[in-house]
Amino acid sequence: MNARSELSIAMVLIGFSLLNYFYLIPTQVVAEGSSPVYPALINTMLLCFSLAYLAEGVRCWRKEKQAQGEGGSCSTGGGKLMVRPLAMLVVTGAWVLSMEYLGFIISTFIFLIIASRIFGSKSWSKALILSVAMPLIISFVFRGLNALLPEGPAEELINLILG
Amino acid sequence: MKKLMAVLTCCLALALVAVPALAKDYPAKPITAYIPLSAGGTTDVFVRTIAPYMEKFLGKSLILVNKPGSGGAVAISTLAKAKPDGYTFSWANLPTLVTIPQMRKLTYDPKDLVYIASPMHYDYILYVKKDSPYNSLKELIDFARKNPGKATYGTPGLGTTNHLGVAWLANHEKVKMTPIPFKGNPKSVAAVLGGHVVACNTSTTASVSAFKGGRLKPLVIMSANRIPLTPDTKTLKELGYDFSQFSCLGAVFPKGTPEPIRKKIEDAIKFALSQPDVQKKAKEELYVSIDFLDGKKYRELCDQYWGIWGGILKEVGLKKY
Amino acid sequence: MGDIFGNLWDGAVYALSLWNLLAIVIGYIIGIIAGAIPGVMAVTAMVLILPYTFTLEPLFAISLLMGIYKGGAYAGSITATLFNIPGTPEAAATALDSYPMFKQGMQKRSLEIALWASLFGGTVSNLLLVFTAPPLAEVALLLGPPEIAALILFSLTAVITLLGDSRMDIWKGFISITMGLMLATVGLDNMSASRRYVFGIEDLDNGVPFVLTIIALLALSEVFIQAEKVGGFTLGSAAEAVKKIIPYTWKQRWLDLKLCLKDLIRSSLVGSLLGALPGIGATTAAFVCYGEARRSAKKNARFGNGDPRGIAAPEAGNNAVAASSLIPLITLGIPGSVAAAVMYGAFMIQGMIPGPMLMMEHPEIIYGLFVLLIVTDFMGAFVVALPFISVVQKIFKNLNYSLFFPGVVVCCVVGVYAEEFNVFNLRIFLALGFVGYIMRKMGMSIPPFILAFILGPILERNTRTALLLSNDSPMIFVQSPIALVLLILAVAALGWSLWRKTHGGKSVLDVPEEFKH
Repeated sequence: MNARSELSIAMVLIGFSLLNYFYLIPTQVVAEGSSPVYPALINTMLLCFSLAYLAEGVRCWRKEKQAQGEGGSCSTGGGKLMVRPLAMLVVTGAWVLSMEYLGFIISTFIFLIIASRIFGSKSWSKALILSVAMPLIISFVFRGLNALLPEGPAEELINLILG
Repeated sequence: MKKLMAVLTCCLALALVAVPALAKDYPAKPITAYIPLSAGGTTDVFVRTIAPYMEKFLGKSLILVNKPGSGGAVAISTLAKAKPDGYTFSWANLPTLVTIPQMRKLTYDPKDLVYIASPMHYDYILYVKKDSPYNSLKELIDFARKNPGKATYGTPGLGTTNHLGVAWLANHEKVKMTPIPFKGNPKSVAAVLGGHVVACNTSTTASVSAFKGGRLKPLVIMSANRIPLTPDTKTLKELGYDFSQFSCLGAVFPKGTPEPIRKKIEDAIKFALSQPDVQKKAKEELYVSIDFLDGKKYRELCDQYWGIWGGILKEVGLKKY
Repeated sequence: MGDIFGNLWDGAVYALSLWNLLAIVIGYIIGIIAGAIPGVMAVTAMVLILPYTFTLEPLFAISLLMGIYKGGAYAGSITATLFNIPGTPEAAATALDSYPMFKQGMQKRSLEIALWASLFGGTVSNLLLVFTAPPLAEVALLLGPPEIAALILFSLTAVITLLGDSRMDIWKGFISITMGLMLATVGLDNMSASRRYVFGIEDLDNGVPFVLTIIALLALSEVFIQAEKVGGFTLGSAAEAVKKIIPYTWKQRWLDLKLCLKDLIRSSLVGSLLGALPGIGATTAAFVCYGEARRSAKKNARFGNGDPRGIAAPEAGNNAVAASSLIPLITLGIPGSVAAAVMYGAFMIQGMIPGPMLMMEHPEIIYGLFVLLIVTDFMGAFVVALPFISVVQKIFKNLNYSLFFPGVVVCCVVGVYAEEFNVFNLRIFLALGFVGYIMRKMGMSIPPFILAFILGPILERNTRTALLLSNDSPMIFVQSPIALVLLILAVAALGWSLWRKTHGGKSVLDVPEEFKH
């Protein structure tokens, strides 16, 4: 991560704490009848630390400019966001949201098939075995414990078979 | 592909067979019941004690799901969205239906629900520490009168009936007592034992062990009747106050559940309560009072207490809706 | 004293039957599996099994739950070591050193240190429970809101040692602390029974659940990080490490014991003390013990790069909590933790109410329980955990990572769901997992966030309760000698840690690579 991205993160944080002061605290804390003292205190801390972070970022940015091309960056953390984690996020999100409608077994099956592709699984057969076995095993463990997982067509079918 | 099609057709056919069961042959499959509290508490154990007998009566199993959160509101709001086919109901404590909807905006209206029945009510006792200088409620109130605000009492949270009961008393006597909210009854008892607050108003179960260990002194029973745990302690009514703290456990169905189905669960609860086992456990081990109210009475009582608790909530500044 | 031994003997006679020992082993196996699966908590397993104890013999039921509890307390460290995915929140601190040590090829060493430290911490706290429970409970009672607030503030200073060394890292660390405090304000404000940052969603009224938060920030974000590495040959980031397993010799074991002994003893005591106080919990104890070990070590220690003390201290600490959190339950009948509340339920199901009365009327049950607790730690470690570790190591060698990580996500989601059976929680879980990923990318360290998230609400609540008791006079914090001493210690610790960070040159005390990006 370079100094410029450090600066932009600091700006975002400062923006958030201002939003918190002028919008979130009045509407979500004060309007509900809660005391704003503690949230405002934390928010002030956030603002101060973000400003310090911004200052550090500026210092860092200057240094980087002086020592162009020689490395020696003083910023920490690394790397850009990448495609696979984002794909993983989207797939997991779709799974979690669809679970209530498709039921646990079917949605988990689809999720495991796609997620194992994202993780570069080369063997279809192994992925298939996992995607079928894992939801079934979990669902039977829960059934045995008399606990509920979200239900869908596959669960109804099993219910009918088991009577 | 052919195989897949065949399987799919089968699924479809089976799904069509599983049409909503008629009330006549209800229940045709296991019934889900939410418990609005986390596992291991008095309410949870009580519900799990009567569940096997209800199952025996209904002929199908009950799936008990602990769904804690927001004083029970999470369970009831999930219930309110469920199909009113009789296969989902929820246990609910009185505050979830009566005080919490007046304190914060919720996604359900408790008055829409179908009230099944109430199997039991809780008992409440106002305690001070064993070596405390106050030996009666009167002495505590005199202390509060002379030292406004110094008489602190522990509650399991603001807006709970434990808080509101003492708040009523303080208002009635026109003294200032300070409620201190703790995270649950046990911590409020611990605060009395440690001498951090003067008194605490707690449900019976949370205090049994400390009381029997000789570390607490009961001043008054806040609820309507004397209780076996502290047979000599008088109730508020006996001391001349026209008030008692009331909270009960009940069961509710979502809006629009047919009457015969409601009746069936009501009967199941009644059947479970008639078991000597259940009565013994409730009295001797859980310290709650079995007190069956049918759906109609339960509903009436909730409506009545909507006004009573609502009035006190207004006085302490917690009524917002 | 002789009385206690007599009671222990009676308890042993009463409790040590083949069936109960079997229950312990079964329980420990369930606990170790539940604890090792990321997202599935031992407490969740206890809760799910609790209804089935209605029909069991009292001591069988309690041994079973005790086994699960103890097994779970240890098992989180296994996945923390092998994958940097803590199986339970309290293993989060262990991962800071056990994962780096494992990456250097010393997997046997790091897994064993965690196991022996757990056994040590568990046993010390068992003995404290047996011999000093009543006085310890009295001390815990005496600590009122102002003292607890000061104690929490002091514990929070342990966080400073978790920050990096550059100025940039320190500011980022502070930001991460404040964000943790901020997330913890979501939900009902208990001091006024009104909402904060709830946006009209009832499911948020009880705040963001803490297990969910920790598993999301540490386990789920790790899966996202691993997803980046797909394609390169470093998937699992440890695949290459497996090739050069360094054996763990007896001499090495002896040297490690000598090195860690001081930290083991201190952590066991600190963990026991924190465990006896209600509501603080094992995760905090683990981080505080880690912080203390780091603070007291010499500057050339290899903390963050696989120092054995960095594994021993948090493991001893979090396992010490397991037994001592039963102290308020057994002596006063007040459950001090979620697990203790489940045990309370188990007693109630059996028709007993734990507390001073049970101790007087049926000492054989309580002392039987003590004997079982002591036995559980040893049986669990030797009969279950040791074979389990070697099996895990074998599985680990031929692990298919492209299937493993999706499976981890499924386990996490099921575990989070099973805690409250609320689909809404899964959405928060996913969102926080992504926040954790972004934080790692930004170089914000996650452990300070977690510690602030756990301790913030306790600090706020006790501070405000203290002010309520004193009619808004801050003098209450100064009038209580215990609170005053703790406050002075907190300020001193804060000052000293910061001074040590900024002076004394660029040290070797660096944060492991995993927590930098």
